[in-house]
Amino acid sequence: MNIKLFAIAALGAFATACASTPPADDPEPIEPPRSAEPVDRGPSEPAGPTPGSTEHFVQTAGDRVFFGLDRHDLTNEARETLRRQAAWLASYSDARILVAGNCDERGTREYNLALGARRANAARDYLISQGVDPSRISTVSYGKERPTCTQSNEQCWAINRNATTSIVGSGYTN
Amino acid sequence: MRGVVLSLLVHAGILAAGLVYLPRAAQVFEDTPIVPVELVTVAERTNVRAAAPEPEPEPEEAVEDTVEDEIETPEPQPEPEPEPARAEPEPIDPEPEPEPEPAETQPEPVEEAPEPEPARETPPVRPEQRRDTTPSLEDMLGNIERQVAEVRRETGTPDEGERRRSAGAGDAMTATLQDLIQSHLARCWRNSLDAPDPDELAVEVVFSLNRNGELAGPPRLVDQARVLNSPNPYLRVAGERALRAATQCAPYPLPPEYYSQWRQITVNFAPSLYSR
Amino acid sequence: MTRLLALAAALVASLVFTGLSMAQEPLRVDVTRGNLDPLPIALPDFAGESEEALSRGSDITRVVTNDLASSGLFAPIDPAAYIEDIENIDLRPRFSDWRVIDASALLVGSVTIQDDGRLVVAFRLWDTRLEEQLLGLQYRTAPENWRRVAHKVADAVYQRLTGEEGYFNTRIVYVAEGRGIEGEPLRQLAIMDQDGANPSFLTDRSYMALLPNYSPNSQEITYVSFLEGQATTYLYDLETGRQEALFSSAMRSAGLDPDGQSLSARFSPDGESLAVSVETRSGHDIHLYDLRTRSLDRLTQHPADDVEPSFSPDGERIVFSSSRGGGSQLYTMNRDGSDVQRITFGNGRYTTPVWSPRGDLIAFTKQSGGTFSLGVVRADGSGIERILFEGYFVDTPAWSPNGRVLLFTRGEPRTDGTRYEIWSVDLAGFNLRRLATGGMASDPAWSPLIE
Repeated sequence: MNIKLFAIAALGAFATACASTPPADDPEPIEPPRSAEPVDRGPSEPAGPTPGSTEHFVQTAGDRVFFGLDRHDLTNEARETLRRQAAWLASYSDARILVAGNCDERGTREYNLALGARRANAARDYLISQGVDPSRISTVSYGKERPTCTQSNEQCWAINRNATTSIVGSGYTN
Repeated sequence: MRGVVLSLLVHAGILAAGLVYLPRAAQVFEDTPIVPVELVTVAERTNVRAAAPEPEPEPEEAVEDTVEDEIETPEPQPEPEPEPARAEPEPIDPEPEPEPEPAETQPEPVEEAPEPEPARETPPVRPEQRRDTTPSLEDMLGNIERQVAEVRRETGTPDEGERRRSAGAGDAMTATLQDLIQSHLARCWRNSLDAPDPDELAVEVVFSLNRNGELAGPPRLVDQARVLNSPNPYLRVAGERALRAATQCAPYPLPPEYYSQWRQITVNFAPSLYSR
Repeated sequence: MTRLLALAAALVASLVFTGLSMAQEPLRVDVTRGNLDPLPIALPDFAGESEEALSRGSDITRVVTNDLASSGLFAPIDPAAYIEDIENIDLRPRFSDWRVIDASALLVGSVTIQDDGRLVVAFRLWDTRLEEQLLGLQYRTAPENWRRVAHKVADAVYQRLTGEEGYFNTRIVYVAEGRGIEGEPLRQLAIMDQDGANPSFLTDRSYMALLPNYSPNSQEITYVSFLEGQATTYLYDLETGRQEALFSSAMRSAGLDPDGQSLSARFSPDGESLAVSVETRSGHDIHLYDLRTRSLDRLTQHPADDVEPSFSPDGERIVFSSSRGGGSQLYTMNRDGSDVQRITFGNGRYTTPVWSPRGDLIAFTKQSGGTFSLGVVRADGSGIERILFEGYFVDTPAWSPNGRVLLFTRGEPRTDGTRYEIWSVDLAGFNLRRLATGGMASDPAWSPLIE
């Protein structure tokens, strides 16, 4: 019963997250994770995401912030998402994150590698301003090399212009 | 009788020119024998090993099908070759010439020293305009006929051959002939606009024509030594291209009644770059 | 007797004739307009004494023909039209037979297989209009090198007839693109001859490799990979297959974050240093890396991103792209970072500058509105830029060693995403061709001429 409810909630949250407007509610953490798995984006367990896991992070905070065409400045929406991320990170103080900057395919390769770095850094700097310890954050730019959406149209490009935060480990590992 | 003499003269001229022409071509072969070049196997430079780890065979072909062949691995040279890498021209004997033997050479028409170039118009030519847009030969010929008719009307004299012409009519005619030759040569001339600094690649070619528009002898570069021995390989090629154009463009469809004006032609082949 | 008289008369007459002609000034004509038409050339199969030699001769002729045709500067004539049968290249060709089929140049050659198995390939290049031999050369080599010999023949013909160095005996490193089993993007470095022969992978599919560049001696390449997480510059020795991340320790000693990005590195013409864009605290800046001392010198300090450096052929200056003026534009500077000059001013985003081997031009890509274009601009910024190609997507221009041809990545939208291929175009914007890679490909790097 309890499990079922959780699953439904998880599904709903996942769907909203995909639409890039994650729910604003900020559930209280129950317990710190014993061990967060590194970058496990596989299908979530029927039981729902383990608190402190990447899935949990995606659901409760939202893992992606989006950028305008050829931009690396944060929108208001992006700041909101990052504030939730910061709050989540405050709750799971062992978690370490990787912020990956991504670009759409409408730019040359090296230019996009640099632009992606700017995007990742913009997200990182904001997280730091929200109290996240810099040592917990690493960044990477994939330029346009790892698009989430591979079609050649505006919607896809908008989705691919992002900085994506993922949980890469707890304080115990690394 | 006069006609026969004239004909004889003209033909003699052609004959003489032909005799000049052939031996020159015959000599070249011996000057340029085959040069042997030793080619060293350079496996260490041109062949590469795949990075470790080895590319494993994969089922999907998305990338795989691009490069499926194994790279060749030439053996190193078995032994150092005795012959030097860049040997002297090897005496590969050219065959004896099947060409007719030279007769006595005729002195070729001598040009005056090239005059200072007249200020010439260099209409901007964008490289994009590769397909030439010069007026067609038909247009030019129509034009020249009109001009000839005009000249005759103005001077009031019937055409009596090339010796008779008034100065004024001659100038108009000169311009027309120049246009005609320009347009005719544009078809045969592979210019050097695509070489670096094409405006330094102007070359002058001089040639004589028979009344039927055929070459009376091989075209010559005015400054042959400078052009063909130039350290700038593009200039040498420009010279050869100009010679080739003058040769290939024969016969020249020019009005016979003005033969005296075009029997000798100096062409300045000067590529002009759009941005200059 | 009569004949003798007639001859004498003719001689005198022609002398008189010549004298008369001297009285008339030659007609002076200026010709400024010509054409850039490809030169019609005949390439009969190289001759040979044995079956094997004949077959190899035909192979070589095919490669030479393909090379010359691909340049766009030559128009090989259909062998079906040939009249004269060339059996002995030491005989003078019947030029009229070749002129009548419109061949301006004629390449004849022969293949001999020596007792030790080695190939002797000899050829003569004739001008059929001027009836002159333009070139005669002979190559001797191990039999497996026959393709290289063919490319060298093509290079020799090309050089003799155009005045510039050929580029056929060269190789191309590029990125073979594809998708893995789970749809993940694959980017593997591959290498092949300039004409698509002898393809082979340099890297496997376990990691992405991008943006290769050749060293001047063609023995090494640099490329970028995410092997260490962040985009990082690697040096790849083509001879040994050895690879190394280049800058991490140098970045540390230069006070930079060793985990920061290092991007596409290009060699100086002397091969002793690299120009590279490296991430600093204030963005990306151009650095000079000394391959001997292994130290990084920072050349630009601007808070905007400075990326994509490329050396001038004299090694004195470096062109790069920078967003310092707002949108990305191209700039040049001395190799010590002084005297920065902006060279592009147009609308749009200018990226990927590459200095031509001739030195006078810089190739770039430009993004403006919804289209991309490939263009060239004078290195000093004077004059107007010339656009050579315009399309849906363009990236990573690479010059042929003689500076006449550009390879570039071209993208076209397809239902399942953008398809990337490598295309070539000449400096006049003509002769657009797809490079013979099997599948999707990008990021071409053109080797120097291989001797």
